[in-house]
Amino acid sequence: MIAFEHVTKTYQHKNVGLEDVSLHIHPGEFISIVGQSGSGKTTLAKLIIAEERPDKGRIIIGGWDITRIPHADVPTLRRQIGVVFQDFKLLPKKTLFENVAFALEVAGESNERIQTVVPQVLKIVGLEQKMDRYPDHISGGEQQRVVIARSLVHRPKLLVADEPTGNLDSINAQEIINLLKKINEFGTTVVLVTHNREIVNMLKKRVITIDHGHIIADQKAGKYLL
Amino acid sequence: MITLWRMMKFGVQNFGRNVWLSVVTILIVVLNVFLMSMVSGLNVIGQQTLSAVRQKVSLSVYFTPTTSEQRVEEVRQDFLKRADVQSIRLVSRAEHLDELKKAKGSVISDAVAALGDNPLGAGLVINAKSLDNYSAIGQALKADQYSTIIENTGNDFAMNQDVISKLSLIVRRVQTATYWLTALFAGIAVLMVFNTIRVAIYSQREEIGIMKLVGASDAFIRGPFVVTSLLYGVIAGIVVTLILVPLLGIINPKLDTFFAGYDINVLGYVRAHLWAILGLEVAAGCVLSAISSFFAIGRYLRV
Repeated sequence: MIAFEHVTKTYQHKNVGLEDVSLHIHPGEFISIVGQSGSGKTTLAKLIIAEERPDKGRIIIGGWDITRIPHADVPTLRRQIGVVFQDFKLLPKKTLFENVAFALEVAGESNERIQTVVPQVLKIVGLEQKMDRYPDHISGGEQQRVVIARSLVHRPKLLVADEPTGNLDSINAQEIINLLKKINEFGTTVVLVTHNREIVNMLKKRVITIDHGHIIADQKAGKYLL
Repeated sequence: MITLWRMMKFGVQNFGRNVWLSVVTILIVVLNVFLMSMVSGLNVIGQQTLSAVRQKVSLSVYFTPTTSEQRVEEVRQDFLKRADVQSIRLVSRAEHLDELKKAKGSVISDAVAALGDNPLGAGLVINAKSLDNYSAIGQALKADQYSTIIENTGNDFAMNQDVISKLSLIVRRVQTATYWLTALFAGIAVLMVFNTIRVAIYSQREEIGIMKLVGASDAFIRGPFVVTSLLYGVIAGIVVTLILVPLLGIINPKLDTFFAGYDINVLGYVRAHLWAILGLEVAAGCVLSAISSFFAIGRYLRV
């Protein structure tokens, strides 16, 4: 599903994002990428969605070598990956319905399909009653559920969640993790980037620990090590 | 097709949901299109005035009273063949006398009555194609073949040659200055509109980044912004026309007084070409804002 082969990413002033990282993530896996702030875990997420390009090495997603992906092909890649961000990244001038629909509209889906699918997905995340509201008029937990709905609506095989619980209280965080687990049970590969010890220990899934741009541990049913 | 429709829908939505940003941007576009219209209008009026002044300059040649009208006509035909001559009006002996009576009043009438006959010869009023051509035409009139039949060149050409040269120089300088002024103001207007649109797009840079991360193509993001900018342009063009026409109505009497004696009617021209002017204003607003938007958004698409 995802293969990193000796990937190195360095930022300005020789700040190391990742250094000689190799890993394989298999289809249907639920994997947690953990590490302290600045360890390189968000760089890894950004490399998967081509928000950053590696300096060295190869990245392959679903058999597609995206190491030097042309700018024009990036939207096609992103339409096949669901992405959840810590800061939600909802469009403030669009309603919840329009935010979720946007992911289908950019892919050229028909209006009929959008009218059918979007309410269904909003129902899954428990927001079908609020679909005409704007992001500013709902809570942080609800905003994150909208983001998950948006990332799911085009049925991606891979979901990347970068600190999805970072801005939420523990109850809302637990709800979001339960949603991600449910999504994984339906066959979607989930890459969860987090530094939340409780969540990682509770999940009992594969854990990759990154420190200073290097993978220092890869456990099959791991715990938060740092 | 569905993508194009969505881009238009998002463009209109963007306009409505950022209504204050839209109002402020339209105001700036209105100001600049208005400025450009005023400068262009002044340029056109200036050119028409110079053209009218040029047409007012002519070279009058008067023949001896004994020169037959047939001979005068021959001279007229000779000069009409010249490439630098625009037109030549024949002034008969009677017309020459009438013109003089109008200019000098009863003094001339009394003098002619005392003489018992019209002492004036026929004449030619020559209009050159350019102010610069009068010198050559004047020289040609001094040729030996005409020395016995031409009495004088009414407004003595030698005396007026200096005035014509100066006028010609002023006309050229004013023309050059108006071209540069128009270019300068157009440049300022383009920069101001570009900067305003850039600020409007800057305020939405995060949304552009989100759209990119969700998988929108550059064209899908850029399209609605260009549509919104086209709306700015259309509305700005209409507003400018709605300001310009009544404003001209108010200042027209003053313009008429200023251009008294010249065939220049600014308000009449604007009324006759209202739709063309509206189209031009809208086109100027659209081109300015849409191109600004197209380029200003570029830097935020690199997510």
